[in-house]
Amino acid sequence: MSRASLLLAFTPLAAAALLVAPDASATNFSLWIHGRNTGTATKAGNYTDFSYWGSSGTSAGVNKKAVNWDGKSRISEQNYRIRDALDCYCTGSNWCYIAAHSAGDAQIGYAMAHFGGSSRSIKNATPASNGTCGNAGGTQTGWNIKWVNVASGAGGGSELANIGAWAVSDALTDDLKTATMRGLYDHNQTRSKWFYMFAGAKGTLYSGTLAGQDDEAVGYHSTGGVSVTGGFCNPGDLLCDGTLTTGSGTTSNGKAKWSFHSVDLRDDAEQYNHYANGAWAGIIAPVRADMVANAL
Amino acid sequence: MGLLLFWQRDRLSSPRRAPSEDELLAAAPARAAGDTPARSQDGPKPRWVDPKTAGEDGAGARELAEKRLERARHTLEGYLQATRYPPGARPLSEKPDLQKAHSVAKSTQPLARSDKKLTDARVTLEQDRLYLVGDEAARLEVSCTTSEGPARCEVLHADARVPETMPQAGKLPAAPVVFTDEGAGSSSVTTLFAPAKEGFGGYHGPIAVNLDLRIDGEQGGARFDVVYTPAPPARLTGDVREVLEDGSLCLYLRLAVDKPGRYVVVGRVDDADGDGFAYLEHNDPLSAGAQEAKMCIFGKLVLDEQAKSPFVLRDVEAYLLKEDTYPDRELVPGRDGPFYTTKAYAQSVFSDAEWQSEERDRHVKEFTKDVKEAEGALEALP
Repeated sequence: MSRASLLLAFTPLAAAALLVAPDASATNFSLWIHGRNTGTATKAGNYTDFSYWGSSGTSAGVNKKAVNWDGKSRISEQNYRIRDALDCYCTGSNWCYIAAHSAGDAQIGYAMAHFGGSSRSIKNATPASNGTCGNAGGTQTGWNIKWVNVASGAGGGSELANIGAWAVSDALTDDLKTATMRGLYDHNQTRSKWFYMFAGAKGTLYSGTLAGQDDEAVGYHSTGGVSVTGGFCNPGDLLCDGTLTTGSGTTSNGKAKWSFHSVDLRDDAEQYNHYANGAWAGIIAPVRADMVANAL
Repeated sequence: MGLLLFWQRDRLSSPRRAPSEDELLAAAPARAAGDTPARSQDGPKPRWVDPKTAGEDGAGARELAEKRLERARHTLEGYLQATRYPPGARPLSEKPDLQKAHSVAKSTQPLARSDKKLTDARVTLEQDRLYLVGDEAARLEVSCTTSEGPARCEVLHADARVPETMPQAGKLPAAPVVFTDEGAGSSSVTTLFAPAKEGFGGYHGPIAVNLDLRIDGEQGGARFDVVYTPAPPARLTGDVREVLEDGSLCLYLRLAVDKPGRYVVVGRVDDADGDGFAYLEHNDPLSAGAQEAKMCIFGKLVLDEQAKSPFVLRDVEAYLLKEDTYPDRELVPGRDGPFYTTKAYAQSVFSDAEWQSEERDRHVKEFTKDVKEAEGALEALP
């Protein structure tokens, strides 16, 4: 279907929707879901603790909330922390933009694939100390999410987990093995929400282990949302399986990305590594800029 | 990086909005609204603009407003197009890694030496399934290479054990695993690993199959993981009821459920020519006893894909999804290959209507509002 016919096909529906007045109490939120964390633990359930990312005074999208979890347990064991946040801020008249880093990609992907069509109680966006919110009355199917920005997503796993390269071996590391992570949930089931992938390439330390271009923790096959493992690189790089393309199209060697995954940033200049470094740094910097610009 | 640090310093000095925010806004990426998100077409263009060059292209308030409008339109148009079909009946082409059952990603990595030193010895690990139940077995294959090409895989030791990250670690004895090759000097070795036959019959969880390997004189390790369910929580009886409902063909798969809970059941659908065109998913709670998992071949999907019946439901997989725990699932024995063949129907029985639901209406209303607001913001600029 051409874009023109697409627009024609849906014009009546869109026009009808325009006739509905917006809810005056509607609020947009920006939820930040962090990744693996073997350092100082974040305060799970405390939506103001941005210690994983950097200063909490830094702008990072409208009404930003830190979705904290223990950063070391299995995705399935801690996923309730993410669902609690989504229930709190992304139900009823409230809507969310999501930013996720590293294993946070798997957390939001897992939640949407497995529970994105489940019945959710509409909450009041007023969290208790445990991160849950009170009921506002009523239920709805799934969550009100507009789109997802992903900084160096680990939804495809990392070869560093495969070979036990990390000094600290936690349960999450077992989930982060490439075969395990890719089999954990249907990465294409995003409830038709777009995952915009920001893929860093400032990595040299583990270039012998991580396939293709990497940011010192995860390779392009994962950070670019490619549906198969392999060595994917920037244009002109030799000895790779293919070039990671921007957008949602296949890699240069014909490997498809997961559906509703689009590469927004391919780090051709190799300037972004994996790490926030307590200063919203690395690949998180451009994601933050994007959130500031578009999460309104 | 220096510029980013500069932004950070400025931000900390402002109680409301950091002076640098305008730079960030100007530098932010802008997606192209005109690109459609369909699998068969290319998606949105990359929007990222390097902050270091942002000032050079004269990005100002108008450009930012235009980019915001483009994103809002892309969000709306993309959602409208994608949700022509319901979440539980998607084009099979939309599932590139799930075309067949038991998909497991292949992994190529260095031989893992105990001293962490990297050599040019590499292993490729392939397995035909990650999740197993009951008496099922997983085929595991290791291929070895060096920079010179394929190299002999010499298995010095291999065993299966509960990983150290599990509370049951060390409580079950490790079981030896025998890998075989196709002859002396073979660059690959294989085994069929059946947990029930190796002493894991009462264990629910991950099992690590560890190998000590020697490749071209280099010694190191590699590891497979499988996740084992000893006893299925439910059983697919094989009975299917097919019903035409509102222009779609709904299949009701009968299950004998021992453990109630949220069951995920998926399957692929081929048309009369054997071409796969649909991926069906049931994800809803089921009570104990005789139950049915409803999976509908959406009418508009049939027509858009020009799929002719009879249809064949194949490669059915299922599991009980458990919240807040690990393992997060108990596997139900599925069926590889054909599961059920429908009757033949005239194309006229299928509806061309798009999916309608409260979920879709809610999103379209919000995304339409966003477009209108973005248009208003752009028009308000001098």
